[in-house]
Amino acid sequence: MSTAKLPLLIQSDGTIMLEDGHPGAESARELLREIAELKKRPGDWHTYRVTPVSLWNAAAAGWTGETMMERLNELARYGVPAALEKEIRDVAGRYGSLRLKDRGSELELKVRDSLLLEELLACRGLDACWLGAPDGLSVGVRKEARGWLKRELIALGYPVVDEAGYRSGEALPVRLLAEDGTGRRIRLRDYQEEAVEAFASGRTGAGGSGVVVLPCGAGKTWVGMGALARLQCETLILTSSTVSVSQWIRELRRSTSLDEDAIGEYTGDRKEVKPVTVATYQLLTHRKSKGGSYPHWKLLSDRNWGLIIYDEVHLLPAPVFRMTADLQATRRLGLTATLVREDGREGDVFALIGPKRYDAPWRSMELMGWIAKPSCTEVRVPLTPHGVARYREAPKRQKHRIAGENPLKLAAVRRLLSRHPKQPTLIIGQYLDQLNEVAQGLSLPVITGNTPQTERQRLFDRFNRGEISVLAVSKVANFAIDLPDASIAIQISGSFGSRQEEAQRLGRILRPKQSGAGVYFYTLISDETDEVEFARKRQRFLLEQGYEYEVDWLKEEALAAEEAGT
Amino acid sequence: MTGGDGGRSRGMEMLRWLLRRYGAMPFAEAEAAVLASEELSPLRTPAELRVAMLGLRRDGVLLAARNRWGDRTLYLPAEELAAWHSLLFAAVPEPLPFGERIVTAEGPARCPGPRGRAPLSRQLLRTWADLRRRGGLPLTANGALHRARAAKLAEAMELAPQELAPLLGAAAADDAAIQAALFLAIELGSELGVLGRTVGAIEAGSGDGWSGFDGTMEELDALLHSLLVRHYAPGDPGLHFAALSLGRLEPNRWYLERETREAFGMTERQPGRAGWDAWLRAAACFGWMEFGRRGEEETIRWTVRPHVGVPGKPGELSVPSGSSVPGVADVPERPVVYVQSDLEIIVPPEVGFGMRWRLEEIAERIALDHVSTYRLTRASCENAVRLGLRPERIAETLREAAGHALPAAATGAIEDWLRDVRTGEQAEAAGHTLRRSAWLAGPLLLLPRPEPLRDCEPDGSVPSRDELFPGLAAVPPAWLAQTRRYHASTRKDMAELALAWRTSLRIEPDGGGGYSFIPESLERLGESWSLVGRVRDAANGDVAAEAVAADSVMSARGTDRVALSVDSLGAIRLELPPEPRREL
Repeated sequence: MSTAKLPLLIQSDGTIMLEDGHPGAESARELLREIAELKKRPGDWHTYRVTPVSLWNAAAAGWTGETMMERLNELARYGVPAALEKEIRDVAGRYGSLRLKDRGSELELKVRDSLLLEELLACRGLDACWLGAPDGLSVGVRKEARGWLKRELIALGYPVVDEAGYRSGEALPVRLLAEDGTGRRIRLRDYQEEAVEAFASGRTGAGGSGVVVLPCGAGKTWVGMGALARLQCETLILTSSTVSVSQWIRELRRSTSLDEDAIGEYTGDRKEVKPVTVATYQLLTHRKSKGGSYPHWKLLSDRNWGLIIYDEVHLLPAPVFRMTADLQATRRLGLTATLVREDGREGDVFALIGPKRYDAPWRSMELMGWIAKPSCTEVRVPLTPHGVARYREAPKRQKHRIAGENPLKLAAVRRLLSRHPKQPTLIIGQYLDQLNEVAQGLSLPVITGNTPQTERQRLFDRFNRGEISVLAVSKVANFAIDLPDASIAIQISGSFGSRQEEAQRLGRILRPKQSGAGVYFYTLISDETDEVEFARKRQRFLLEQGYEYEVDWLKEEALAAEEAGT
Repeated sequence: MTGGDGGRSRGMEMLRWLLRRYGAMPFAEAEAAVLASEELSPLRTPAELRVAMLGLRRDGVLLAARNRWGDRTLYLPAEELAAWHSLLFAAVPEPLPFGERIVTAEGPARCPGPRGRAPLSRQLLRTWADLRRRGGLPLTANGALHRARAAKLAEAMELAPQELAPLLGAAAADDAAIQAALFLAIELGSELGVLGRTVGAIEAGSGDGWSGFDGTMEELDALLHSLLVRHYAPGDPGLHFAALSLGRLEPNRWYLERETREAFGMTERQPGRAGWDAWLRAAACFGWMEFGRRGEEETIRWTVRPHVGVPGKPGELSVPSGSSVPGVADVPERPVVYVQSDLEIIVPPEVGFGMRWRLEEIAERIALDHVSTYRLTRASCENAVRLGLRPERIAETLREAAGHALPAAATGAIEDWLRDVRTGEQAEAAGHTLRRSAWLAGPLLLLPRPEPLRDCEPDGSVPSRDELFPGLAAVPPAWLAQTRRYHASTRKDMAELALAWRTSLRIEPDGGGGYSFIPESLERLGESWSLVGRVRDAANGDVAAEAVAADSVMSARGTDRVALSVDSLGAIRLELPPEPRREL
């Protein structure tokens, strides 16, 4: 094959670009899934990054520097830069140089070469971990230092292969049901089963802790339940919001053989500690004063947990890492859509939760219809002549609101709703006045931060049952709300340039629909205003994730006429 | 001895030695003849080497010049060295086989940077683009660079002053050294037509309508290599020789460093050895060479395609493209850039400099690597218009570069950003567009270049045999033609003449046999004289120990000196090398 036809462009800083439409792209994608992190996939070229953690993840899955280089050289259009080759070999070669083993009442760190052992023993910060003098190429380690030592060593650039084993935890007979209460058949999808197997056994036979990476909407909860059913032990599930706690509990009740009594909720509202307990990170890390203790940490030791599941592991707060350092004898499963953390602490995830055990092939999942591919449209709405004058004269800080509350957006919403009659639709807005006006103008129920929780739930339930097809929601919709059938989102205004908000709002409609219907994400933008640029910034994250935006311009006259007609 | 193959090979041998010893630097003929006989082979007489040089002069290979005091020096024309090198050092070492396990290493260069040094082409592109973005580099009233502005610009160059020392010598070590890399960037930019000088500033040309160098970055590095070798390397013959030698290695292939050196005759003892190492270091600092190890042995490889010939006009350099080397791409028919929907632009290596120069004008650079990336932003588009680009040209340029329509997100963004650019601003900006015609003619020289023939006049005269061997006309022809027994005083005269001419004597002792003897001194030994020198076989220049007279006072093995009594020399004859024939 001519090198010109090879699919990878490899940079010396570890950036790797993959030509998505290339005949050899699938094979290259398979390789990169193992040894690199996907950074973005806009258009024809997808960008990955090789990092120390990604290389150690690959090494944990059985790759060596040599095998990685061999494959990269086969696929690189312009070769692999020497500096990167050196880094790959060096970094990957460090995996396996340190192994932690159980030695009865203590642990033992086995080191591959004496120079490295000398270097480690010379690190004064590690003194407290050691038990006695080294014996040949190994040294005793205090049991309680297991997590802390691993974290310190990875910070020094040396990952530890933890072979010290796990406690079983309290046994808990549990299985996935054959069908749920509505008669829907329950069966893990192939990739979910593979993920459970990879976590529990590991590809090199050393499973029991690690991270499963699945795209949004691919059913991470199912993998968690699958692991629970596989390990049959009491389990603590930590997640990012109370809504997510409710979602976990609902799925556990609906799809597993667990009694209601066996499932507990540990949130601000309820403090139940049951054989399977679902809690939020926020509560776990809550304390009364900045320097005070964490009163809810006792949850971790209240029961003999056999498994801890960390949902959305890329959002795991720093104090939870500290807690986790003390829980290294417990099996740990991390679930996430991305290993990339905004705070750059991927090394801590590797050291304390474990290496990546499974990373789903998102492309084939898209093809199989396991994850929805939305159609994203930016709808440009003109300002009225009066709006233009107001906008121009307004001070800079008010411009965004004037653009956001553009009254012609109501006509635009009406037009979009007429395109998708009776489809479950969310209208999401930043400004309450605007949201209320739209709700009033279209006779829609509205949920804001002021709506009581019971009323919210009532409306969510009605929406889920199909009794309401359109719901107006404020920024409460940015966070996890469980409206699995929503297939259309129309955002009428948003904060300045929050890429996270754009992704969260889109996430509301990403779960695959049983009806097989397509999903549509509309963003209304006042044309020729700052909102255009803010929208561009918001959209960049989604463009990088491979979503395409179309732009649709609406004419002022037509909208005005429509409004007059109503 | 005849002037046939022996003379021919001696001429070639001498030329090889001159090339390695002096490069393009001038030298005195007599000094070179003595040094050559010592370094090349002690069994070559300086007379033979002078005759060999005479042959090279007659053939136009070696030129002469006279300084203002009338002293004559010889030199090899710099522009012909590369050709001679490839002819005289035909045996280039073999690269190591593909798949050989080489561990990349820091090597002797120790260039800073965690991931090695970017090739010079990229450092220069960054510096030139910064210069343009800053609206040029102003000159002071007396034509010097504005110091503070220059210091800012110099930051774009990764080269440290000491790294340039092997090429620039003292210029890289004085107070202004901090800007030596910038000076280099400006000189090279001027030579390639990227930069030009107006009355008050050094400015960069516009990318729109670019007519300067338009090769790939790989070709630019090749061209830069050739310019550096031509302009700065001649000052150090060892370094120059190393540049010519290493320039013949295949790019992207590993070579054993020791084997490479030996293939070009650069042994540990050679005077040019320091220059060899200096060029290796310099090449690494220019981001052109990588070091590695195969076991205990050091390895080297080019990451660019070095060129050592004489470049033509900018953009006319013809560097072979493509390669059968794995890892080096075949160049597609029409190089294109990829414009992504997130407004990122991917620039593969085969894209020409002209397009990159335009992208530098309209987009923000993210990474300059083998594959470069840029991002289109509002600020970059507005800046391009400020620099004089018509708004519609931005999308047009990108379309041309991409070879097809742009993603809707890109065209939409450009339209949104430039909708408000007023006509007046455009007109004003157009006035800022650089007019190359305003550039002053002549090269922009900021760094000293070696000028070995400064103040010298060409000397086309070729010395006669009498000039090579003073007094030759007065010498009895028999002394040169016949091996005879002469009177002791005549033998002494002939020995003295051989010493003066630095030539050999044919000696046939009474007991039979005969040999060629290279005298080095005549020493008094009581009432008699002793001739000290080396013995060699007349036919091939090797020592013929069995033929040495029995009265040798020392062993004649190898290149050891022997002392012969003048009284007992037997028959002798003066040996002069034959007239050189046109041989090259």
